[in-house]
Amino acid sequence: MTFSRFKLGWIFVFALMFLSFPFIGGETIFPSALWNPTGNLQIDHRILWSLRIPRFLLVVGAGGSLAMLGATYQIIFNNPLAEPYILGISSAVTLGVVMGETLLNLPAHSFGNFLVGVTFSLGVVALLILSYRWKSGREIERIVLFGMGVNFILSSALFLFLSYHSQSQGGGALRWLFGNIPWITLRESLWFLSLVIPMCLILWALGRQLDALSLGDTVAATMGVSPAKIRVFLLFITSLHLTIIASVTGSIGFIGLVVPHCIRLVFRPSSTRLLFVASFLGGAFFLAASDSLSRVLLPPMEFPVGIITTLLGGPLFLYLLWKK
Amino acid sequence: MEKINPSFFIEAKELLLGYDKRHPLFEKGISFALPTKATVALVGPNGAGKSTLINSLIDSKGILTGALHCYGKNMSQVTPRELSSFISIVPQEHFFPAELKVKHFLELAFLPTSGLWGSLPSIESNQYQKALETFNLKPIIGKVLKNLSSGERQRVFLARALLQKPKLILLDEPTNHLDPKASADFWRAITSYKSDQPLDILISTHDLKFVDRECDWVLALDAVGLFYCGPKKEFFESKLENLLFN
Repeated sequence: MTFSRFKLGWIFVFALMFLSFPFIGGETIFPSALWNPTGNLQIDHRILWSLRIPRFLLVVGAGGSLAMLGATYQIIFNNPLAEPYILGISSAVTLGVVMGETLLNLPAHSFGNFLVGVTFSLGVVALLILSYRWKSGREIERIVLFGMGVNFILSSALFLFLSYHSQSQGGGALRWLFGNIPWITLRESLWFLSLVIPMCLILWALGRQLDALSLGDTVAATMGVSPAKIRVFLLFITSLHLTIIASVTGSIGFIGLVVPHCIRLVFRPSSTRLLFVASFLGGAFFLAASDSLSRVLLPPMEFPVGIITTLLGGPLFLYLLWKK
Repeated sequence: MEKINPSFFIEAKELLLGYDKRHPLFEKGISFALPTKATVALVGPNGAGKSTLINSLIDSKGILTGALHCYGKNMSQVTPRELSSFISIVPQEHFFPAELKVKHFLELAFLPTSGLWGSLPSIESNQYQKALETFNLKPIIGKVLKNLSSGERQRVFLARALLQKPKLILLDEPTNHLDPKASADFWRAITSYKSDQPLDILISTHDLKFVDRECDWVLALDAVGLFYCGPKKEFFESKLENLLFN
């Protein structure tokens, strides 16, 4: 990609907007509060470092990852409609986490609860990989359809559970359905990033193999790439990646589907690696913007961020499609 | 150590192809050998197993029983990395991302040798000017692959396959959708490439005039199995083509 001065200008504007998101919220904070913990900035300083910045880091990691995962699925399944939630991984995690929360009385974002979610998702991953490797056909369509079937069953189970649960106990379990960004500590957010960023780097490195795979399985095999092996490996690694995100934020829709398409429409990246980098930045920006908006619209109320991403992203996507 | 016969590039022994053990493509295993430095035409009616044979050279899941050797390597055991060093293909149905440009598509030819971390050499660098000329790609190098005509696109696919510097190129009905001029351009590019370096060619086609004109050797499959494997001259002199398609 070569950048004209015009495009560079836009990139600068977007970067500036991006960095301003932690300072926007129920109350606007001035950047000087970042390093000045004294005087009337004392409270702002603490809000920034213990609430806004951890949340910003979480949003950047989650949004960027979801967009990259969407791009990956679209290539490995050779299907423009593929998105991170298509295989039922995040339904499994959500079901696990909600069950852990209600049946085992585990705190919402505790490690124990996370493990319950991971167990559920690994179960689904094992099923998916078995369904791909077991029969000799190894058709990609089958694994997508299989995953969709699993997704329907698990999300219905989740609905059943949530409707029972919300009637008997009330509570915020519904937030898992739309995707919700929790307030976490700086430490937790750094933990999250330390898990998610290496996974993004692995995906980026495998971009080369995905370039080959995007030319079809036959050609890929003559380019030194084993389509079956790379699919199984990617299925495994992306499922872990998605599990980590879904166990923290629930299912934030639309980013994985739409951000890669928007990137393709606007930038026409020449390789999967470039698509990944651009998708990460686009997804991070988009989720950060949606999250800020969800808090700014009617403070101190906070909307589930998944609703905002869909309301914002849908029209944008339609506009880009219309224009091209 | 397997016996390597250098004068054949493909050797099949009791080979049975298909994707379902209960319904193999042939009645019994077929055996044949294809001589190196020949342009081999793979002919036969639809469903005889031409594409399956070509695909079996790439992915061994189509081999039910028997052995298929290519340059002495057992194709059931060859890894994709090894495969990429001696075979490339222009498949019947080619996939590519909608926004991909010709030059970036061509640069992917260097992917097998660049590894995970090496950078792909730019197709516009001097090193590849000759290749661009051979395939007459200079005018379209900056275009989006999707927007090319079928003839141009097929030439781009061929260029990518040959830039990989294979010993053997598999062409699966490459000129099917092309008009006579585009077909001629396609074949001219191959001949011009072949005049500079050795290349074995296995081409599946329905165009018997083309086979008579350009190929040296015929491998004919029919619903039963192997119909004929031998020099082109005998195939046409015995009027076997009439038998094959009736």
